Amino acid sequence: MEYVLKTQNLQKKYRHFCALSGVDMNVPKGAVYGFVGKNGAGKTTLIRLICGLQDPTDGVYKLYGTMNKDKRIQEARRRMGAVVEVPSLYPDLTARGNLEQQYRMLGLPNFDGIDEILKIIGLENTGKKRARNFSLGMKQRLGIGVALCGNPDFLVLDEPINGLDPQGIIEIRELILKLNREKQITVLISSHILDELSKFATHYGFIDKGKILCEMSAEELEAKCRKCVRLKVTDMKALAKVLDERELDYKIIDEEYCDVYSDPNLTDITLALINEHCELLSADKRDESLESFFIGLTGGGQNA
Amino acid sequence: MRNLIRAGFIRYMRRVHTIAALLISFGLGVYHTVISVRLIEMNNGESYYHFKTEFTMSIFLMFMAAIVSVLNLGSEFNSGAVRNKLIAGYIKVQIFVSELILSWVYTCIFCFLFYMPFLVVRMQYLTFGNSFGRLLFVLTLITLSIIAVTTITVFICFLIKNHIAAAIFSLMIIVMMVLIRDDVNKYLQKPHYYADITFEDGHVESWQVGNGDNTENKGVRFPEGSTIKYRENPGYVDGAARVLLTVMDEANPYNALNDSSLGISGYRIGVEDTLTDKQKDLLEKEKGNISDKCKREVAYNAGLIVIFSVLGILVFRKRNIK
Repeated sequence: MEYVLKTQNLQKKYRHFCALSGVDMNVPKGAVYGFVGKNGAGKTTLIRLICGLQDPTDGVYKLYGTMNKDKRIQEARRRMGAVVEVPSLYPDLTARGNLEQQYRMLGLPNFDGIDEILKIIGLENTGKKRARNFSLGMKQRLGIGVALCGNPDFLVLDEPINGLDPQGIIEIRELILKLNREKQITVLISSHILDELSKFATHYGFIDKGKILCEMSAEELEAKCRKCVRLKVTDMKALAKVLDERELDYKIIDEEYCDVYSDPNLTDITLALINEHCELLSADKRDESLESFFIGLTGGGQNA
Repeated sequence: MRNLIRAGFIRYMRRVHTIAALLISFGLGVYHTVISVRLIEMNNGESYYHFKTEFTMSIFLMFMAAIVSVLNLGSEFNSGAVRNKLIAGYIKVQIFVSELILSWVYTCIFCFLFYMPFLVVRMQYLTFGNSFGRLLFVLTLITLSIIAVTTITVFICFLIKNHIAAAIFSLMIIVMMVLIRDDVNKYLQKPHYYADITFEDGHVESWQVGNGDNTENKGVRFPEGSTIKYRENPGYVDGAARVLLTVMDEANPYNALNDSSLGISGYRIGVEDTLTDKQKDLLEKEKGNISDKCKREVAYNAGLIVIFSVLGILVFRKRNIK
């Protein structure tokens, strides 16, 4: 498999605080790589390192096969675009003005392509409206537009859906999918809104306390996130007895609720419960969410 | 880096405060040229003091260049444009140097606009005791001293993350330069000797002999019958302290600005007819002469520019960008 980005034992220390400790990460070409972690896990730090905003304390990374200590890393970095934390925009310029400025900075010979970028990010009709008057969603899209200048084939987006309303989230999601599918741009996207990531990520990397816990494809993750049926009953002991008799895997949530894994025969269980003088009050089909999986992975925690 | 400078130049040129600074520079230049010319004409061509006043006005250029640099650089950091530059593959040294060059270019434009009216209109008055080379030297010294301050400002902007704090700090440094210059000068100008003169009629006067290192009037002839007793001034700063104060004085860009005004005021403008032969001889000798102090000031200001440029590069290279 060809990788756009590979990191090896990447470390970053700020005086006595270790933000990253030995990160090994692999972003395959053509993937939408969901970079998942709690606040303060080290996602943004890692993104800052690969964007060249900061230097690693130890370890190396390869961008398109070029080591970060190699002089050619600047050329490799020209093939990537990024929005780190908040979009870098000139608030007093229009959407077009911001893109033109980025074109000048990149030394592009003309402004061909700006119209296409404006169309892709859906800001072609903003006219003379200045970036400072844009909504958060528009700013995020313009930030992505600026990152798209120079036709990069690797896009790094740090928490692009933070603070967006549902409509804004959908717009960003569709934009990322469009860029990935139509332009074959590899996308590394960090977020702690995991369910949203699960809608378009093809690969995942889970980070906690500055360490990559695991990397997997969306298929692998789906297999790990088990489906279950949540039952509400009047007598939990009776339910446990019935489930044990049928050798079903289950987990008691409290005195009323219990999650039964795999695909149980509800008719059979209901009849058995009647015999035990227990009422089945409700049965909801549930998927174990990405959040639950991640919390299980990190051994529980907050903010995820 | 050429792309960075080009993009930055266009970007800054479109900012309101840059346009305002350009207009103010030109407006101030026109205003003082017109006022000075009228004063010269009213005083039969004597321009000694008016020139001095005008060149001291360059302090406004110093403030303005610093403010424009802080505002432009502050916007680059606030908008995250510096991040975009790094992501686009530019290294920190290139970013710093491009910003430095941009601030120098704009400072030169401000100075050019300020002095252009002077050069255009007042050259006709520079008819005696002048050399164009010396005039250019003085203008170069002024521009260099303002560039030195701009360089310090750029360094501060890259050192202090908050651009408002950077602006306040930069302006404080300019104010400090003015205050320090006055204080340092006060010490340096203290006389080395006092002469206690007892006149024939018995009364005694105490004269100070020269200012600072200037002891040339130590051998001055006093009225016959008077007796003179020289005594050293205990307050005279000597030795290493004097060397240090002299360096502080000459390395102060504001001092260079001030000395430039004195340098140019040595000209006599269109007053040939009113001068005595002796004055004409003196001015002819002075023509093209540049004092050693001014030459040292050029070196010191150039030194400041180099030192703060290198420091800025070192600081920015180590700085983590968020």
